[in-house]
Amino acid sequence: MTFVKPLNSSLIHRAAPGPKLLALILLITAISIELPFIDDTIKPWIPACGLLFTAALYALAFPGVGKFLEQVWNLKLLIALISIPQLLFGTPLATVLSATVRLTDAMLLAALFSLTTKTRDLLDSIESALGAKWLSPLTRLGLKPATVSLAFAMTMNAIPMIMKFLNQTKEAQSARGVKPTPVRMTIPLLVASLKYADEYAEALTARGVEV
Amino acid sequence: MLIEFDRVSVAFEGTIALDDVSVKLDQKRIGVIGLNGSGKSTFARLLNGLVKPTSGSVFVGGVNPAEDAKAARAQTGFIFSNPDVQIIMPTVLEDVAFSLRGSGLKKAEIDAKSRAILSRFEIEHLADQAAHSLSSGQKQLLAICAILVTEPKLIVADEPTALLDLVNSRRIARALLSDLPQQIVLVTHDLELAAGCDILVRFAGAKIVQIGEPSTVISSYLAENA
Ligand SMILES: Nc1ncnc2c1ncn2[C@@H]1O[C@H](COP(=O)(O)OP(=O)(O)OP(=O)(O)O)[C@@H](O)[C@H]1O
Ligand SMILES: [Mg+2]
Repeated sequence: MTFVKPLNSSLIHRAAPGPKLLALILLITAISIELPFIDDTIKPWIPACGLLFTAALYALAFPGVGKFLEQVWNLKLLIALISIPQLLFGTPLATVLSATVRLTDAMLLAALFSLTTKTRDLLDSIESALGAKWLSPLTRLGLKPATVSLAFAMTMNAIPMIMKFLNQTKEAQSARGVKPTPVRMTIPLLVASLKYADEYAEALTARGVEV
Repeated sequence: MLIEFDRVSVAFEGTIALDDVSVKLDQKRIGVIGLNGSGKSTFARLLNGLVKPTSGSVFVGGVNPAEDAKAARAQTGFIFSNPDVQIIMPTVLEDVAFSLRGSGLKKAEIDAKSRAILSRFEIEHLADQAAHSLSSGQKQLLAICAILVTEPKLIVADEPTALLDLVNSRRIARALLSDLPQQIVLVTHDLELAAGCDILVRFAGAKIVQIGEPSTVISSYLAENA
């Protein structure tokens, strides 16, 4: 007997994974680039509008603002890690703000996507999309659908691990009485991630994955 | 299966990890003990080709892992100490099912087989959970399920209980030593676990220094390092 958690049935949950992924990519692109035809007076407000739009999408999938705020809170360290070094290097506040909001927004959108999509459905749709005729030049170049979908799954898996290292590093530094700043955290975080990557590659090989 | 080492040495830049080791083993539960850096993991990794001998040769059931890594990996399941690095797919069921990709089975069959192994280890209720949200003990059970579902002939486990508490260690010990039909090579620092094997191989200074009855090997290990 299994107890499958009843899946949330919002429009966003039910959307087909393929088009949803396409929408994600388009939205992230729209956030990341400076659209040339937009008036200078509106420009500074675009990142904020994007964030609002994302909050609205979250509300559509999960009633209320709780889920959205929870995800923002999850990203707090990453946000600090991105913005503080820029400020230290003297980048103007407005630029830092705009870049940080955009990046946060992109990560929130990606998180929303993974929260509302079953990985297996996603992988299936990536594999079948890559199997489609119009993409056959890519497959002929040696891009295997299975490899691409595996890379996707591994990326989604790596995110909680990096978050774990982030927390461990922070706690270890606090325990030794130093205030964990992004600058201090970079090296241990890198070391932990590289070590993880090494062991992960070995475990993959042992499970018969050709990488 | 017969595990055969013929004058095997392994050198990494500067260090000799294994020094001219020859041995033949075909017991069902083979325990490997020894101090840190004595060569146990190197020995274990040679069995599925993760490490290749610098000189000499290894045969496992007639397969040479250094030459035919694919065949070696198909017949050998490897369990690491850190369960975090063994998880490939985001959810429990998907991770087990991942092992059966390319098995030629239909999706429904893969699902059924994966669920069956999860229920054998009493973690079927976790099937749809995020794999990273499990406890270390549950993760290690998941890793074992993901390996056993492919029915390998040999299991190699390198300190599978190193990160676990007493209860979870015993659970893993039971899963690996009592309930398993397969042959297993078990590397461990846990002497209670080692005592449950049929034979113990003891490493020291990159060599095998003793092979025998677990109680005998454990008492000379304790005496020598008193
Ligand atoms: N990839 C490597 N590169 C360089 N040296 C290595 C490598 N792997 C092992 N060694 C060295 O080889 C020796 C044997 O290592 P091995 O990992 O086999 O020991 P072990 O018995 O498993 O130890 P432990 O109980 O600490 O796991 C050690 O001196 C180790 O530092
Ligand atoms: Mg070791």
